[in-house]
Amino acid sequence: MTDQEILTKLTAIFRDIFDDDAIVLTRESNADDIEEWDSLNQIKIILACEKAFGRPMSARKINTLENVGEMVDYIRGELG
Amino acid sequence: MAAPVDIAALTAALRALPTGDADGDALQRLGRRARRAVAAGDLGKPVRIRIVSSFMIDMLADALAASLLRRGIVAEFDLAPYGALPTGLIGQASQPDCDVLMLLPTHRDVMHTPDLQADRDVAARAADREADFWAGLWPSDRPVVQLTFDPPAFRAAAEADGFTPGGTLSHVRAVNQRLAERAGSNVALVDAEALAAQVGRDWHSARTYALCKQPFANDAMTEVSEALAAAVAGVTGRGRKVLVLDLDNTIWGGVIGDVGLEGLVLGMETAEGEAFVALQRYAQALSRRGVILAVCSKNNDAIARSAFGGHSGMVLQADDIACFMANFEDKATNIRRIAGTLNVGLDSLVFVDDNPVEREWVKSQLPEVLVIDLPEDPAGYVEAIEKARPFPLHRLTAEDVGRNRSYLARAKVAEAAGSAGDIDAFLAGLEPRATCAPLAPENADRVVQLIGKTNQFKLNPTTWPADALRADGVGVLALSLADRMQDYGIVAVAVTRAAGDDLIVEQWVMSCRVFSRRLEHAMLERLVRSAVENGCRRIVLPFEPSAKNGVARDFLTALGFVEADGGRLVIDVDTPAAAPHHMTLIDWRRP
Repeated sequence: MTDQEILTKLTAIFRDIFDDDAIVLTRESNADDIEEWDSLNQIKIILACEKAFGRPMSARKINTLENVGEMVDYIRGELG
Repeated sequence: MAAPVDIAALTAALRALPTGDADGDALQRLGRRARRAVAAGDLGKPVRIRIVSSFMIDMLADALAASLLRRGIVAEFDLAPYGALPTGLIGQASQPDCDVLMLLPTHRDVMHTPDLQADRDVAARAADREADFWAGLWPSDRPVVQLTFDPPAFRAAAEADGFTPGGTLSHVRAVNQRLAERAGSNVALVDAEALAAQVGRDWHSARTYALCKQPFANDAMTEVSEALAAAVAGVTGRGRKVLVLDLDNTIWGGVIGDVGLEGLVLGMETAEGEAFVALQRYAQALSRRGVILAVCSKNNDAIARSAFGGHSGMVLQADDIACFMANFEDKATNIRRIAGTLNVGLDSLVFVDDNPVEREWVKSQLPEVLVIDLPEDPAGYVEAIEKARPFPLHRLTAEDVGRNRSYLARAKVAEAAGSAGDIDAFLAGLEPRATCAPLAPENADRVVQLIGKTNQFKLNPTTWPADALRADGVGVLALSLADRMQDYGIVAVAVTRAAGDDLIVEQWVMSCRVFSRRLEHAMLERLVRSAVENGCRRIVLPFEPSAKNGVARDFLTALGFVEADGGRLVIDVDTPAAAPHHMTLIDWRRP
């Protein structure tokens, strides 16, 4: 899976969880850009990622990441 | 900022969810939308539900919003802060106002577990103390929904944990029993032990609990959400009241009009027969606790009723059925009549029918009726009804037990208003295709079989072995039907012989499976074409009434046939069509 494909899947997840089809994600996107991106929604994102990418994800690790780009890198690493 | 919620789309999406096993993520997604719509004031005045839980319920709250809205309940949640259970509930006067209080503890909240070695009396006192505390948190002036204590994930004392009075599992069960004894009519307990057994291994998820303090895995979301929503519906008086049952292939195997009583698959002798017995037993058990039973069947009334008390495999009896509608009109019209006769709203009805076309029709015409999505296999029928949780009950009253009989006593036949919706649009929407083929080696067996075993739509008792069908001057029209839902194969056959001005239809059979599809109109159109090709001006049917083919006569009269000499039914080829059949009529000829 390419980085762009990962980003596309993440975008779909974010749009679903925040119920907002206007969301556009870039590598630089972070919690400052999306108002409702709090710890609860972070959990929903993690669970949705596990389902979408078919792999368990480390919540502890993900919570240290600074932006969407680092999430893409982490997921790419997990997918091997 | 997200766009305003499209309410019509939300309602349609909720209706499109299967009645059982809806996808948990879909429920949460639709629930998020519902909560936004409620917050914006777009769904009307909500029921305010205060949820006090000892685990994180934000995701459950989303799913619950959808599960409630499916049941016609617009809910607004007041979620108590994490950790508010139980201490935040002590001191009733300072409780925030709400319409329904929902309490969701887990076994982790149990406080007075006795020592493992405790004897029965010590254990009983501990259970009393525990139950008194929790029951003391219940207000008496509003509905309460509470999850009982669930079985712990681990049993350090193995099987003894549940069988020794001092075991943790024993204590949990004893407390739950006492909670049920102390619950007033405003308290609806949801049996967590039964729910955990249904959910299975996803009930205890150490991982999800570590991640977000939700004790069950996300795969259990649907069952938990639906169970709680059903309890809210029950305790606020919004449970459904009537189970409307189809007959053929729903409560017995086979079509009674075709195979007769002796041909029904029903009874403990075969696996399939047992499945139908199980459904009948379940329906009867429902009626014994207050659910009203009705029948809606496309059958001759007397023939349909003959099974009740007339077949050894039957469990349901005639006086279990408060309203019995058996005729050949469409089911939406009949279900409206049932609601009218029983004097209940359409939103009180649950409809169970094995035929997906009938289910689609009723769903499209009567969206307030809950139409259960049945699996193909009758062995799954009871589970399909259970999973939809249409008849919540938290407390049995004498009135519940007597209800079915009192409806039966009061029921009278009432003519309900007119016919159901636009049947033409519905039939056309099925995109039906009727293909007409002559007798061919590959269809000969089916043609002979259909003529032989059809009883209801059949002109006369003449039999037609393959040789007779191949004789000179004999024409065979084998009509098969397919639509966007299924392919029915050959379902009608006409055997013709041209005799001067008359095209004689020596035999005409049609499967009762397609009685509501206007296929006889398509066959007539094809017969007219045959007649014209042969220079005939009339179509003549040698009709002989039998015990079973009265319905054929009704169909033929509706087509425009009139009685002529010798009891024959005739029609001129230029008689205009009685009704559109909406079918693409294809002639298949061997190239």
